[in-house]
Amino acid sequence: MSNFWPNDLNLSDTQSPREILKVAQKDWYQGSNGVMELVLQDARTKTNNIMIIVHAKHVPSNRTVQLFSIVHRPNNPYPVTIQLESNDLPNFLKKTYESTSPYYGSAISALQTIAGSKEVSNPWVSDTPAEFRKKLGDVLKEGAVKSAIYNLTTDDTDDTDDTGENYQGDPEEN
Amino acid sequence: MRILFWNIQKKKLKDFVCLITASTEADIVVLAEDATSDKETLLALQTNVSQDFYRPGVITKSGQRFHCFCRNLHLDLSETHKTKRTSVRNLHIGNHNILLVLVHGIDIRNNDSNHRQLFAKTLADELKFLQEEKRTNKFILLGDFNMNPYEDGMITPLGLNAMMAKACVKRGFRTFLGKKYDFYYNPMWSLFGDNTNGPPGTIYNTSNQGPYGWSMLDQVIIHHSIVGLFDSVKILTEAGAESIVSSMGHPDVNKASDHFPILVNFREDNNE
Repeated sequence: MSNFWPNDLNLSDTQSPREILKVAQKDWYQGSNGVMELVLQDARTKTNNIMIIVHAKHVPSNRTVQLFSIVHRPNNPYPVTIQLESNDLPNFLKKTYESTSPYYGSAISALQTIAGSKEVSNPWVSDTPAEFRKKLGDVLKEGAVKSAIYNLTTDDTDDTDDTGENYQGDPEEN
Repeated sequence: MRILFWNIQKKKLKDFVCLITASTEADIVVLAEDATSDKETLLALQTNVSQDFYRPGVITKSGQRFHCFCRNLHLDLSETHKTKRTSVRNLHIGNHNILLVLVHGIDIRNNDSNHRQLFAKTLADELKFLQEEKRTNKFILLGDFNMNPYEDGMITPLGLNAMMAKACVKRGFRTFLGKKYDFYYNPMWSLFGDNTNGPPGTIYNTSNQGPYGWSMLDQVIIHHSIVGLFDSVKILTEAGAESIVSSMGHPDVNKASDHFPILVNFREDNNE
C-alpha cells in the first residue's frame, strides 16, 4: 500500500510565527511577573520579506535591547528563520565559538567555493510551527539573551573597565 | 550645551581628547572606536579637564561601540536602548526630554552602497520603534554614519529623510505612497567644500571608497520638532593649541585619527 502523505505533518498545528511569538510574549510577561516584556517590531527586509524584530523590555525602567529578528516571505509564514543579533561578545565569554577568525573566514569560504560546492547549514531555519516553537525556545534560552535580561534589570553602577578589547568592531572599519 | 563626537580610529588618543574637551568646553564627549579603556579616559578627563565628568549608565558594557562621558548630571545620558550599531541615550536639554541616538553605520570597506542604504532604512525602522516605545519623537542622531549627507539612505523618506536646510523641514513631514515621514535637519550640508571656515569634510580618501576626496561621514541630524534647539556644528582641526591637520590639510593620521572631530552646540533656552 502506498503512503505518500508526510506523516510528520500535523495539520492541527497551524500557528504562524507571529502567533507563536505572541505566546512567548505572554509567557515572558507572566514568568517575570510583569517585569520583562518581549516587544515585537514589524519591519521589511531589503528584498521585501516580512521581518519581526524582537526586543526585550524592562518594564519598570522602560529600557529596551534588541535580541533577534525573524524573517519569512510575504504570505508564506514558513520556512521562517531566526536571525541572531551578531554576538559582540569576545570569544572568551562565549560558551562555544568557531576558531576561524571572521577576517579570514570569508577568504576561506571563497576558496572553498572555488574548490567546489560547499553545503551551508542554517540551524535557525524552521519549516513547521513545531520546529519554530522549539528553535524560539532555544534562542530565548541562549546565553546572550539571558545576559541581556540581567543587564536590563541591573543598574550599571560598577566601576569596571570597558577596555578597547570589549569593542572588537568589524575586521576593517572606517 | 556642547557635544563632542570623534571617531578615533581604534587609537589611544586620550590626551588629544582632553585637550579638545578643555578648549571647546564640551559638556558631553562621545568617542567611537576608542582603544583606550573608558575608565582610563574618564580619569584623564577628571584630572585634566573637570572632576565633574562621569560615565553615564549603560545597559551592558559588552559590545559598546561608544565611550560616553558627561560633566553635568542634569543632562543624564543614561542608555535606554541598544542594538548592535546604536546606543540610545536619555538627554535633557532645557525643558526637553530628548533621545540622543548614537550611530555607527556599517563600514564602506566591507559594505557596498546598497547595504549602507539598507542600514539607514533599518535605522529609520528603529526610530519608529523608539517613537512608540519611548513615546517621543524628539530625536538627535549623532555619529559616524558611514554615508554622506547626499546619499539615498540619508535623504529618502524610507531612509532618514534628512534635509539640507531648516526651511525644508519646517512643514514637519512629507508624504510618500500615502504615508507620512518626519523630516530631519542635517546641518552638515552647510560645511561642505572650500567656501566654509573649516575643512571641506570630516574624512579624506581618494580611493574608490572616497570618490569625492572629502566625505562627511560624521554627522548630526535633528528631528524637525527640536530644530530650534540647534545652534551650530563645527568640524574641529585643533586639539587645544595642537593642530590635528596634516601638511596637506587632511586629518593627520600619523598624529591623531583619520576623522576630524565634530562639535555640536545646542541652545538650552528654547521652549518651543
